[in-house]
Amino acid sequence: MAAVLELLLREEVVAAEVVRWLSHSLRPAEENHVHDMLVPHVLLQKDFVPFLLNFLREQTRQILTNGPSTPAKTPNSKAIRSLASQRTGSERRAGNSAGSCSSRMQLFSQKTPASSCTPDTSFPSSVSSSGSSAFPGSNLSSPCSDFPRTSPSFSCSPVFNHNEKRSSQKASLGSFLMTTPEVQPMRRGRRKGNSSVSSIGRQVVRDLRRSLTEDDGKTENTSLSGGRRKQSEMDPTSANSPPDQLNLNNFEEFPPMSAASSLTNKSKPSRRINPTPVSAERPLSKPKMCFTSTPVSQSPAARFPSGTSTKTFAANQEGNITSITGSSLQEEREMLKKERCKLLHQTSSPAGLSLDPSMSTKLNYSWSASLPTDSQLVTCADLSKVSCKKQLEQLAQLYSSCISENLVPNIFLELFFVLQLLTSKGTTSSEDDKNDLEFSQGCRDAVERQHFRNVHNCVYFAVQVLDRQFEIISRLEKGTLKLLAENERIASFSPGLHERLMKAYESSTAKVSLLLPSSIQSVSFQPETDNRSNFPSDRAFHIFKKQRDIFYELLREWEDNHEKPGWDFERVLGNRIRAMMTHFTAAYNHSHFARLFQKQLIQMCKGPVGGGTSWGDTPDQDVLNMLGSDNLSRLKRLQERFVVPQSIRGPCPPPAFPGCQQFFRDFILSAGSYQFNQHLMDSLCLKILELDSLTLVEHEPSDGEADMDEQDEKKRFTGALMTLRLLAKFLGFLVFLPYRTVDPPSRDLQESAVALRNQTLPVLDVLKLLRRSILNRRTILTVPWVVEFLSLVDHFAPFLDYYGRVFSLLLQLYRYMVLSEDKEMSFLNKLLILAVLGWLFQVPSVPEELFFTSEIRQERLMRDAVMSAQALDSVPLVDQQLLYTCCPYLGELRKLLASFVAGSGAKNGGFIRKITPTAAESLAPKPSITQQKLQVELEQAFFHNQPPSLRRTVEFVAERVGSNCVKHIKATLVAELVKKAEVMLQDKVKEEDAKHSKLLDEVCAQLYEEGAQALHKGREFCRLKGPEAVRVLLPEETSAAVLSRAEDIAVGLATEKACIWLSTNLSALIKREVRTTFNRMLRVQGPSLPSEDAEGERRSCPPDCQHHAPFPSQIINEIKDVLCIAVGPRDEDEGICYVQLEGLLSRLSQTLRCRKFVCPTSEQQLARCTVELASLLVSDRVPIQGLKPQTPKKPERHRVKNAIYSLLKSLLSVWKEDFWTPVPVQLMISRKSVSYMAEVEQREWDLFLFMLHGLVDHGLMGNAEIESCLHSLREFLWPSDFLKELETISRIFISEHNVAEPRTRPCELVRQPRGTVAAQS
Amino acid sequence: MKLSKAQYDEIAQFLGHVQPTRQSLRKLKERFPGQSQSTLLSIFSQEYQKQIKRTHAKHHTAEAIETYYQRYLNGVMKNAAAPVLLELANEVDFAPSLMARIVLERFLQEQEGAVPTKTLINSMLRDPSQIPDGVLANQVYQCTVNDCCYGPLVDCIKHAIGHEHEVLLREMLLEKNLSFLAEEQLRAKGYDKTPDFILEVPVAVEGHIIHWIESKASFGDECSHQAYLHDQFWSYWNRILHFIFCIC
Repeated sequence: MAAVLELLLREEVVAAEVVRWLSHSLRPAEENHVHDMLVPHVLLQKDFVPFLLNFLREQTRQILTNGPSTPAKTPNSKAIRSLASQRTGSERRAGNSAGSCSSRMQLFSQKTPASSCTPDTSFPSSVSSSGSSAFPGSNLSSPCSDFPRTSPSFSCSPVFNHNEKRSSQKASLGSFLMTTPEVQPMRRGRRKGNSSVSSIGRQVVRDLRRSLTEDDGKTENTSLSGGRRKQSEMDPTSANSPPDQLNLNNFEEFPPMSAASSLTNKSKPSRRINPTPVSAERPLSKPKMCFTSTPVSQSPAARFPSGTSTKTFAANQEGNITSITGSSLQEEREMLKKERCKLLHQTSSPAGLSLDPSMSTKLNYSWSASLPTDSQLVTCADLSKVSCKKQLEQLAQLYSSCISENLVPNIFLELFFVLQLLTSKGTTSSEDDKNDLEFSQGCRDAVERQHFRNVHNCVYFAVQVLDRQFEIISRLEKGTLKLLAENERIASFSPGLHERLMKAYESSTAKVSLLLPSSIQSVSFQPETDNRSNFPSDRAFHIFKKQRDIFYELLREWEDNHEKPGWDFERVLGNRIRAMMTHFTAAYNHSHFARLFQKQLIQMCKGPVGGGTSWGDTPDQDVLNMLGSDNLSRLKRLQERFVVPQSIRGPCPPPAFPGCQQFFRDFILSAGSYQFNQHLMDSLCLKILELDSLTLVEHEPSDGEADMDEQDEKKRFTGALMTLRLLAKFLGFLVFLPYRTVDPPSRDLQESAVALRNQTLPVLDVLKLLRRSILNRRTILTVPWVVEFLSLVDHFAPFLDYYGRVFSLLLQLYRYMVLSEDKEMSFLNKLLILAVLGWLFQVPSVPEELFFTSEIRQERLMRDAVMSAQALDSVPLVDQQLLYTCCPYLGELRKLLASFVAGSGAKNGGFIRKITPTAAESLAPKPSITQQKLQVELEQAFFHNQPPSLRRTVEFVAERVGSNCVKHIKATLVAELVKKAEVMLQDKVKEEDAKHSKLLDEVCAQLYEEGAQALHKGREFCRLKGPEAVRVLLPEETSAAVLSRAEDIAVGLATEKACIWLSTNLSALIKREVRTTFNRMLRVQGPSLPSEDAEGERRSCPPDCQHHAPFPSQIINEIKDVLCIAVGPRDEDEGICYVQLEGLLSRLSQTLRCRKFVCPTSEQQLARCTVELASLLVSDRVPIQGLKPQTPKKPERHRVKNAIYSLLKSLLSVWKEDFWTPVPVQLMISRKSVSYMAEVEQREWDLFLFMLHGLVDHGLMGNAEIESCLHSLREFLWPSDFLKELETISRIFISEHNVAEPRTRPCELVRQPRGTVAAQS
Repeated sequence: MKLSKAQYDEIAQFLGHVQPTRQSLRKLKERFPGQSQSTLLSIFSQEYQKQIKRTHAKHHTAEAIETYYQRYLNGVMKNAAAPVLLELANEVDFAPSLMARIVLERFLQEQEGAVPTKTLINSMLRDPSQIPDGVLANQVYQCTVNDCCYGPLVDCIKHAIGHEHEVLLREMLLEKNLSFLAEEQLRAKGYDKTPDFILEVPVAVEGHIIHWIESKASFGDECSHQAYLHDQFWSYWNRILHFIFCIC
């Protein structure tokens, strides 16, 4: 491993060859010529990348004080870290020592070349005994001699043996790290050649036990070291001890590994590992790793000429397998020590590595001391001061290739690391250069050398990498680009890159706002999905209604209170939720509620973080607009800093439930209902499947600007993607909930748990979906949500066969998705997938070894993928806004850069802090602090001399007046504004839904400016009302001066209260009100009745109306009775008096004229009934009685007819004059009405004709309309004679109307006796 | 208007098993001339609905539906003008409107091969001229018109009564000079569930403090009291406390 790097650094191979060597293993299919020197290392390829990453971390860790650490993903880091934090709190120190993990048993069975120890004569050995040390209780004399034998594994890079089971390693490692008195005799024995594997094995156990019982080895250290010093004198190998103080017994530096396993559960696992990058090879760690450290030629201590190393050692290994010599171990030991020594030096003197013995006595082993403090200036990076450029370039090239080839688990993590290097702070020191030479001489191996020991080198390296990663960088959002483009270090180190960045920045349109909507959207009711027909019974329906009521009540309560300190979800809502859940007696209620829950979840949480559906442009620009429109963008950025959490979570935060999602998560947890969870999962799965099959309209790659369709598609895609991610996250949460543990459970349980769980089927077949999406080239939609789903896995799930395959597939996809612009997939699409996958690989419950160790099974999926119409991958769907919305952690890059610009020191952890806004007092002019203080003191003094009731009164008045002021503003100004908004929105209601929220924002934005007057008005109100109230409430006898003071104070307090409230809440209030109004408008608009306009015109009764008219209900009832009798069945003698009918019609007219009690429903019913009545009258089906024989000459029949005519006339006039709703008169000519005629023996066509004419004359129907009605009547099946008559009638009607124009006799009586009709036909 | 429990029981008992036709209502009016028609109708309607609720299921079995449909078909074949459907309903003790609905649904199902939507059925019941079969249209209309407890006409009358009483109640409140907030105002204020009126200043009625009034415009028998309590009033209770249950 290190040997490969060594070769590179010594310029024996070039980076390109290493890359080829690396990719050789990954893509064996490709024709690759591997450099000869690299051939022996073929099996190490897999481990090389983690080694490289750790190497870089280790090399640079001194210099990086800015921002959170970027974890290098390596096996065993968990254990190490937990131990480190447990014992010392300094992960870095622990990391240094704990980097070993290779299997020791293997080591010992392994034959090693007897590379003899190389006494490093360049260092005076006297240093080792200079005992003045900063280490408390520890002896820093060089204990090197006892190390080689006890921990050969130490020299091992931590990444070597991740394939092996950790448990087996842990036990053994610890024992070898322990350097206890008992060990020493053993060592001696072994050196004499008596060592045996078995004895070591026993030793292991003993040491392990010891390490577990000894909490702190420090107490023993002093005595130990004394002994050891003697040994070292005796020991011939000790002559080459490094010239520094190093206490291997110091538990803080070299914590026993065995302790790790016992302590893991106590502290949270972490990813960070900073192993001591031991420069030389461990000769024993792996069977074929058959070379040891090759002494670098520069080193005077070099035993071998550099060129011979590989071959020599290879030969050695073959030949001499059995000897485990002390010297080989010794060598290992020494390397470690040297490393340690370097680190200590660096730590103590950031100015540079001083190897001066006198310096080392001043070691101050305090980590914080090495951190630049605020007072320190940021070092000015200087290109001319960069040392070992060649090596750095090689490294940069190699590193960049690893990034480009997706060999690193998370490319953004690496970029973050690079930016950390770029922005690293150091202190200027003139010693930098001086020590350079000395330093390089002190290092035997190139790998050992501190290539990154100063800022200049770090920056140089960073710029080199950035230069090579320009393509990715240039796709970052504009703000980041700007910061990069303006970065002076880049400008001075690489003008070319600077120029390209400038160009990229200028042409970038990728503005991203991470601002989240500040207010949660109002809770929506969704009646359409929940009507009675969806429920099997009334009871279920009502239960659900109630449940919804409660649910929203809970939600509202949460909204209002959850941010208050001390508010606890479970305590406040837990029981209520459970009580509500017990109402669910039947499955269908569960499913209904699950659906409601899911809908609400989507509605509230789909947006970037928390609520809000609109994004891109921020919905809440209130503050900005209130302040004025100039400098909007700056204000916006400022606002972002208020609102966007500037948490220092680093580029890989663990999965979280931000904003409103919290409510839903806590609800699920508190409810703890298995049934509900199951239904919710079902519902989520269904919705996910539905959304996952989203298709976009076939898309042709357009050149030039995106047109509207494309934008809409993008929007649709974004919506679907965000919803999918949200749902998948909750599904993952639910699916893995039963197995969730806070801490990783011990691995002992794993086997049985995995065996059990392998038997169950996955809830959602993500593997199938993934495969399909890869095949159909829809990964851009599927992968992000699958990642969300998997991010919530419990600790064992990844070891299940099924999820193992999923992860393996994702890994394969990750490797496959090399970033470049190609036709198959747009760059940003890939970037998004890589970003989310990279993030997933860093999620705590995803096992660390996964990335580097999983065998990548080459599924043929990628190649088999077909271009289909459904293929989304090729469509440029992702933009920066979406990228950053999905991966908010990418924003960390920008924060890092911004913090560098701001120059904020280490105090803030190198980050700009989120500004926590306090009440926006600043809006009101604010006197200086001293003045304010004085004012307060004056007031206190004033109150002191007055009776306490005065103070109470003033405070009370201030409180009330302030509150009233707000209410007043709400009722006046806000109400006015809302009315204005209503007018503005009036015409736009009909536009499609999607535009609504934007529309609202626009309108609100206009209103905010006017809303700004609120402060002024509020002040005015307080000034007016405050004194009044004070005067009334204070005793009459109060002196004028006191009174006026009291008034002033009250007004001041009230104004302050009101203004604070108004300036913080007014715009939100306006927005809410406008939204409510708008929603109301939408509702009214929706099922609007055509009559409404007419109703609007004449909304009230005639002016002299007494409202004594009969109720509509009564009239309907009466008409119903008449209809009953007319339709039958009726008794023989049953009938209706003509007078009664006449009266009914006149009352109908009255009722309709008085609008007080009429509602649309009743009016429509009246219209319908009267038409029916007319039809029955026309067909003479109403048994009219009680006709007075006025003209006795005329026959009975004639009288009846006249009566009917007169009734019909009344009806026509009522229809025309009194109805406000349209009367369905066309029903008169419907088949049903006409069939009444057909059933009558003696058909009275004249009545019918009369009616037709009447309709025309009253303007109730047009000629043409009637004609078409008549025409369509003929289509029905009638008796033949009736049909004939019908045809005749229509002919007559048509001809009459054509002739008789203009009409002068609207209601003339009989025109055509039936006899005539018959004759004409 | 107050109605003693005894009187109510008497009416309820008289109703027993009567058909919801105008003849029954006429008899009821003759029997209890002291009561207003609306009170009687309301009680009649409620009693009848209780009865229907008990027997609803048996009329909706597949066999029952098929029998009714066949009987209807046979009936109209003999005499299309006879009140076949209405008589059938009366014979099996079922509301004519509901019987019409069953047969209409069955008819449409046969004609169109699929179960018709509720909206379509309701629309046809409201306006039988839309029914594609002339005879059936007449039969259905006859049923809905003659039914005094169910059907679109009755529903509409009930709705109208409800509206009228709300207006009346408002009148009365205004007359008594009681300041109140009406439903629309309450909704504007953000109440998600609102009674018809909230009194801004509570009043005492017969020793009870009244905060709000809900007009149901129907007769309040015990059963409907219970139902309303369950559906609405507890929701109000949570929000506004004391209330009056106004039955007109």
